Amino acid sequence: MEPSLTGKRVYRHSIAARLTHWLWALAMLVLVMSGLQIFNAAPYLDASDKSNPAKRVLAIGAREPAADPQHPVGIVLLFGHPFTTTGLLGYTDDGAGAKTERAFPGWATLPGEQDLADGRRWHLFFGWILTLSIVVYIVAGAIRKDLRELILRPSDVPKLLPMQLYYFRLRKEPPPHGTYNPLQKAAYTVVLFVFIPLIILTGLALSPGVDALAGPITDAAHRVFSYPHGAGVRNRGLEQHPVNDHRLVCVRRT
Amino acid sequence: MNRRLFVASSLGALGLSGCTSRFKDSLTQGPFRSVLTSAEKLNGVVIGTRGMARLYTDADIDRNFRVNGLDTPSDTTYTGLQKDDWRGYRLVVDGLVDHPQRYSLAALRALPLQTQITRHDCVEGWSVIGKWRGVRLADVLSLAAPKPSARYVVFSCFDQDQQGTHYYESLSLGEAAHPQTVLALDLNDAPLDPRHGAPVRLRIPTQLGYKSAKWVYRIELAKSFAAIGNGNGGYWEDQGYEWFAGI
Repeated sequence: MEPSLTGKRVYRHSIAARLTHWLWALAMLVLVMSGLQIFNAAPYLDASDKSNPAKRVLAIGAREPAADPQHPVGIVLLFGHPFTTTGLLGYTDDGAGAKTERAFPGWATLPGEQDLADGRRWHLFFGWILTLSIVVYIVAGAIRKDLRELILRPSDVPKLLPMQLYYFRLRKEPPPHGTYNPLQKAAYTVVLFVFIPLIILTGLALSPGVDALAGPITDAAHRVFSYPHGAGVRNRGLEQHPVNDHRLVCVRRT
Repeated sequence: MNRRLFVASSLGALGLSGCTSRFKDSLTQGPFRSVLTSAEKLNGVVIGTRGMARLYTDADIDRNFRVNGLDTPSDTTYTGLQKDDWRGYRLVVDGLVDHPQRYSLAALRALPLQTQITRHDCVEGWSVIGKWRGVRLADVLSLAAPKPSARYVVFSCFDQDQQGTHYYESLSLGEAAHPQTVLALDLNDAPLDPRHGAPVRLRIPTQLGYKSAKWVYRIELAKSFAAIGNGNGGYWEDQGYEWFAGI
């Protein structure tokens, strides 16, 4: 938003675009933080449509070393490989100034202290904010015809590589384009029509009520697209997991 | 301040500074809370309990069904019934009904039984698949003939927490009448064991696990649940969880 030569402020985006932009920026922040809070209630992801320790992708917990049980160690298990993450993950900030066995730290979650019920309230409310702001953005963009400048068309595809080469300074001139260059259009198109819908659908796919309403759709979402909600991934049930003869104490809801 | 700096510093302020917890908690507990919780009504309307929970096959069953929830009841009423092989157990159906009922286990088993292999989704995020056999709640309710003023079905349970607060749950009549909402008697081809809610538990696969109350002894048809517990319709609901648990 730079001043024009006449000193008058020029807005390059419509009021709807600017409003929804900030709304979904806020929604994404709240959804990530409350999502980490929800994850903490059962901090593991299984690549399965039910809890299945044999298909565990990720688990975050703490273990008490046999030699020094007073000083638990934070552990991230990625495909069974342990990584020590004490202080950051597994054994970390409890949201009230102390350390505790807990997957994600209090400073990163909403609410700060472990509270699944309130985390869900935040998450399920801002899920609507995200959904409605994307709908308003797309509808307003379609009415104002701004949207057509953003969508990647087949004719843009051959220009993608030249545009990238221009960015790498391997080409003197960018390929001819409209308001947005082909790479910008590609980014907008993928985020608007692929990533954000997937974020919403993969979340809904975890809901028993939605699963019952749209089993075949959510099934596909589970199996094929797994991006933000952790691999269509259902959490599991064991309280203990053997790691090198130590005990991995998973974080439990308070 | 330019925009990127503004975004970065806002994130920093929200996420990293020491006083954030208090700020975040004040948002959660203040007047904004009623705004947050309003999403539940919307979710209840949009999602509801209309769909049919997916049915799984025998191969999907978790034979070691995870035990969760409050401790298995240990009071003498419950253990006495258990020792007597549930001969003295009666499931009471009363409240706003024309024909109050008292079912022995044998009487429940004499009703048509439904078998379902469905997934139990806990609010914490884990899930287990089990094979349930039981009586459709709709059948039990229609035998009791709810009065037109009845709007909710309230379940009283034997289990209680450390403070002595008893577990309870409630469903709308519509949720109760869903064809997959059953009073389960068997789990994985055996009568329910005490840890899984013997002798009778609710099983509602279209909602989260805490709705599926264990150790049920009374089903009351009511106009409202405002006077029960803290008035939110269930044990976990009284602690901030949603009454509509379809999501």
